[in-house]
Formats: sequence, structure tokens, C-alpha cells
Amino acid sequence: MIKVENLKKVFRSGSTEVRAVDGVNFEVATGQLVAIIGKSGSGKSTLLALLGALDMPTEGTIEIDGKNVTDLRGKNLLTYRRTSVGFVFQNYNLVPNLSALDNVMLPMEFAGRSAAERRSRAEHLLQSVGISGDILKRRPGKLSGGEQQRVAIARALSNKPKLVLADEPTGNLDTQTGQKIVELLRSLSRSEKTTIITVTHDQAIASLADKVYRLHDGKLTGS
Amino acid sequence: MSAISRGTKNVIRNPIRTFSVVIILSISLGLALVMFAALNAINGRIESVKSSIGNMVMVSPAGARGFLGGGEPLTTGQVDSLKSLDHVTSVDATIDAQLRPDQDTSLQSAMEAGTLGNRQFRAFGRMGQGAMTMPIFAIGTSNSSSAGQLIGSSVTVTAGQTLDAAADSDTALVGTALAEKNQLAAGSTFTAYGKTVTVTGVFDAGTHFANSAVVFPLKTLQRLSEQTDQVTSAVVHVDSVDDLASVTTAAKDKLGDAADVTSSEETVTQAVQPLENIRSIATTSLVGALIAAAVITLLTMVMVVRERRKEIAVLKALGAGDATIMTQFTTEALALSLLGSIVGSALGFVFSNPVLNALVSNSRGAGPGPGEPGRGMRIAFGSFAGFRTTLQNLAAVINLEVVAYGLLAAVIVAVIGSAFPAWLIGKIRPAEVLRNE
Ligand SMILES: Nc1ncnc2c1ncn2[C@@H]1O[C@H](COP(=O)(O)OP(=O)(O)OP(=O)(O)O)[C@@H](O)[C@H]1O
Ligand SMILES: [Mg+2]
Repeated sequence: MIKVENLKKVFRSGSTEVRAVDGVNFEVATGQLVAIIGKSGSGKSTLLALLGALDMPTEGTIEIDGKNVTDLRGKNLLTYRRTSVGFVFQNYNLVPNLSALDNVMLPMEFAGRSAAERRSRAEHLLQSVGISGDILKRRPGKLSGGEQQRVAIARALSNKPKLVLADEPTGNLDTQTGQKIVELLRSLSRSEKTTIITVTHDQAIASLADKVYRLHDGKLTGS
Repeated sequence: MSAISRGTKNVIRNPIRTFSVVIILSISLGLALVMFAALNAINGRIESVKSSIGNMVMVSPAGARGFLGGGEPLTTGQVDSLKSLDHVTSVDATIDAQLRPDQDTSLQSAMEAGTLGNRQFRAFGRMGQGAMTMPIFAIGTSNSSSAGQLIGSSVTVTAGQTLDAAADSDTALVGTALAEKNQLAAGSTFTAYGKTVTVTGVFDAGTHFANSAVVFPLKTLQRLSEQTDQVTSAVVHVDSVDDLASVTTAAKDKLGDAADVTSSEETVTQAVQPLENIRSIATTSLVGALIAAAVITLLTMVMVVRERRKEIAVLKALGAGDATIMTQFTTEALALSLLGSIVGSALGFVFSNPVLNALVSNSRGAGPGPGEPGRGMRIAFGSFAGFRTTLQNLAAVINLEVVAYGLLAAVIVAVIGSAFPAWLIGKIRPAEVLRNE
């Protein structure tokens, strides 16, 4: 259960003020797939950053299973980023110098898992997103966009997060491949009991979502 | 895979850049090593020059030097008062006398008068006094291994036994030349001032002048030559060369106008001067090379951090702490500078001595030449030739210790070179990961 109340993020640069997120309220039940749509610059990425505790809100609260995320500092903040959320990005953001397998193992290393545990879970996850064999040893530069995004999804799920945040996960993929990625997210949210909040322009995702919100100038409207 | 192994792995991520950076680093770290080895050689040489010149302060009655000049002798009391000065380890006092053959002593001089002797006779107005026989120089000393300024600082007993310099007994050491001339050996006797004196041994002090002399215990010669409590020279031994100046000043204050006080310091300073010149060049180059290495590492790491800004934001978004990421990048800097240091050691091995030789010949050409002793010092120290060779045969050695220092320098360079990039890492916002460029 995710509960967002009066969430605001104001960017100040000199005298200008940008209200990127401007008083957002919503609730998502565990295991749901939620889509957020909106024009460029409407504040979608900023909202995801706040939900993932990558940035501090100017005002408001985010509660996940009753715990206030906006109060987290220092080590607790790192622990939240490591274990409670997973990110999937439009341009994959895999670490270029690491193999697919190492990329998936990375968040588990930060979370302090043993090497053996990291390896077996990473192999299992990659298997379930359809990556196996010698692809495991390849670096991102030698993977297709679709393969990279599968690896990124496996990486996002590695520490069994309650929440997966995806920012335009199909934005760089062709319709067919994007469709497969969406179906993958959908089925994983069911099997791993993970809530998924995804920003998208993609009607296919929106049609699969349990809920669709529209963001306009930092303000959220339901649908 | 840990932050450290990721950092190490990242070194080979851009092989061409790594190669170039390592080459440049190895040149500056190699130069630092060469300068370090040169400094070692120079410092060693400075120490040996200092210790070969000695830590002595010479005290003479004002206006007198040996048998030359005039004025009043010093007293035993004055000399003893020097023992209480700080940093003074011991004070050797001596008294001089001249024994006239056939009048004061049964001995015959081992020296011929010659042109120099005759000139001295004329100068002292002794022309009309008959035979131009040389007197025998007698020294009374409070330290049997050091017969004072006139003879030189070291006396080696080659036969028989040394004197008990503290005693007042009718005994003496005779120089090898004097012994030969008078057929003396340990146990022989001769007369001086009407007393029978027993020879305890024969000494060699390296010069014909000194080896023609006779050495008594201080008190014995004071008594025999009726110069009770008088001292004609003293050598003050100081515990370290660095305290020479302060002891010289203190001795001057203590004795006032009664004494001329000189030290070996001026000689040391002059002898060491060309070495000091090279030392300052080498020190400057060493520091400069290390700074250059740190700056190269710094610029490289700033470039690397800027280039991987997005990647750092990804690591932060995945929950890596700043310390972990900084460790990864510092490891990368460390690997670069250690590689540079290893290649630099090889360069240092090849170039250390050519560079040192270049420094030496440069310094010979431009700076002041090897120090020459002052006139007074030449009398006081006799023939000291050591500092003429101050710059010769200097050899820089790149050994394991020097290489270890090189690795240490690489670590310091990496840490310094990573400090600013680490600060940059700390400033990267994890939310940047969501920005698409
Ligand atoms: N760090 C920042 N400093 C200042 N302004 C910012 C910052 N980050 C975002 N903004 C501004 O906040 C607003 C929302 O940006 P955001 O990136 O959330 O939009 P978005 O909906 O994700 O757009 P897009 O669809 O193009 O990705 C924009 O006007 C943007 O310029
Ligand atoms: Mg965006």
C-alpha cells in the first residue's frame, strides 16, 4: 500500500521557481500496475525520483506500508533505495563495464548479500526475463535494447523490492519489443507481488494498467 | 565483485588513455624517485663530510697561534670552565714548549733548520745566538690521543704504550722521527729540564713536523717548563656539528678578549656548499615531480568522474553509498599511479646516475667550487683534503627501499589526486539518473 499526500517539489534556480510536482495525492494497492501519463515537462520523472527517495520533496509525505519515506536519512535512506525500490529507465542505465550478470548482482552487493546468493538469484531472475547462456557474460554494449531492458528489469527486482518505478521503459523500443517488456513487467508484478508505477506514453501499457493517472503541470488527475 | 575490483577493472576500460596516463605518471614519479635517490646520496655525503671535518671548536690565546704571535696564555681554570657549556663532550688542553738541544734536553732535533728554519731564527732575532739547531717541539696534552692544534687531531701510538695524560709523571711519547734520530724506544730515557724522562711509546701523527715532537702529560710539561696552570691551546669537542655555532658563541662569551675561538663550522659550510646547492635543486625537483604526478592523477580522475557522471548516479540510485563509490574511483586512481610508479622505478633505475651526474657537473660549472679552508683553519686542521672530493663519486642507488618509497608516493599521489574527484562524486544527485540526454 502506497499513500502519497500533498507531495510538492519546487526547483529554484535564481529567481525562477519551477513547481515540478505541485500537491500530488494518490494511493496504490500492493501488486497493482499504475501508469502515469503526461506531456514532457509535466513532472513525471520528478515524481518517480521522489517515490524512489532519489530526491527530497519540498513538502508532503510518501508512506509505504505505513512507513514514511520522506523522513529517511543516511543509512536508512540507502537501505530504502537498495531493498524497497527498483528502477527501470528509458535508456536502461546498465553499468557499461559490467556483464549482464554482474549488473543484476550489483544491487545485491550493496545490500550485503553473499556472493553465492547474489549469483544464484541473478541467474534465476535473468532466466525468468529470458536471458541465459552466453548472454549472461556479455556487456551491455553487446546487447540489443530489448535485452538490455530485460537485464534492467531483472536488476530492478534483484532485492525483491515492494515497489518498481519505471520511467518510459518502452520509450526506446519498437512496439513489438515494448509490448513484450510490458507483459513481462505485468507478469512479474504478479509473481513477485510487486507494485509497479510506470511513466509512459505507451497506450499498450496504459491499457494493461490497473490505474492510469494524468500529470499536468505537476498536478495529478485520475482517470 | 567489490568496489575495489570494479575500480581495478575500470583501469583497463579505456586502454589508450590508461597507457598515456601511466606513461606520463611514470615519468613524473620516475623523476621523483631519481631525485629521492640523489638526495639520499647527497645527504649521505654531507654527513660524511661533516663528520670527517669534525665537531671541534679551537681555542687559542688571543693573538697567538702555536709558537707564532704574542699575548697571554690561557689558564687551566679558563679551559676547565668550557667543559660546563651545553653540548660540550670534552675539552683537550695543551701547552707548548721548545726544548733546545744541549741546553734543555739530551735529545737532538729530527729536523734540519733549512731555509724556513733560518728565516724563523732571523724573525725571532736569534741570529747571534750561535748554532742554528732546530728546537724540539714539546706538547703537553690532557688527552693522549689528541696532541692539540699544533700536531693535528690524531696521534697513533705505533710502539710501546700511550701516556696517562691525566697524570703528572716524568713520562713522554716521542714522534717516530725523533725516536729514530735519538735511537729511542719504549722504556728509553732522556733528560728534559734536568729531569730524567721515560719514553712510554712512539707515536705517528702523519707529518714529519709532528713526528719530530715529544708529547708529555699536560701537568708534567707545565711543571717542567715552569708554565704552571698555563694552556696555549684547547680543543673543545661538541656533540654534533649542528651545535658548533652555539658552542663557539658560548665559548667566546665565556673567555672574552682573552682567547681566539674558531670552529670547523666555516670549513664545514664551505665544503658542504656545492652539495647543498644540488640538494636544493633535487628537493625542488622531487616536490615538483610529486605535485605534477598528483595533478595528472587529479585531472585524469576529474575527467573520468565527469565522463561517468550518469553511471555514478545509477550506482547511487541502486543504493551505493558515497564512500563505496569513492573507494571504487580511488582504487582506480591508485591502480593508475601504482602502475606509473612501477614503470617509473624502471626509468629511475636507468636514469638515476646520469641525472645525478648532470646535476653534479651543472653545479660545478655554475655554483662555487668545492670549499677551500680558511687560513686559520688550515693551521688548525693541518692537511684536510676530504672536501676537495666532496662531489666526486656520488652514486644514486635505486634499491628496494627507494622503490618502496616510490610506491608510498604513488599512494599519496592517488589519495591527493582523488580528493577533489571524490568531492565531485559526492555532489552528483542520484535523481540525475532519470534525466535523458
Ligand atoms: N534539477 C532540476 N532543477 C530545475 N528544474 C528541474 C530539475 N529537474 C526537473 N526540473 C524541471 O521540472 C519540470 C519537470 O521535469 P521532469 O523531468 O519531471 O519532467 P517529465 O515529465 O519527466 O518530462 P519528460 O517527459 O520530458 O521526461 C521541468 O520543467 C523541468 O525543467
Ligand atoms: Mg522524464
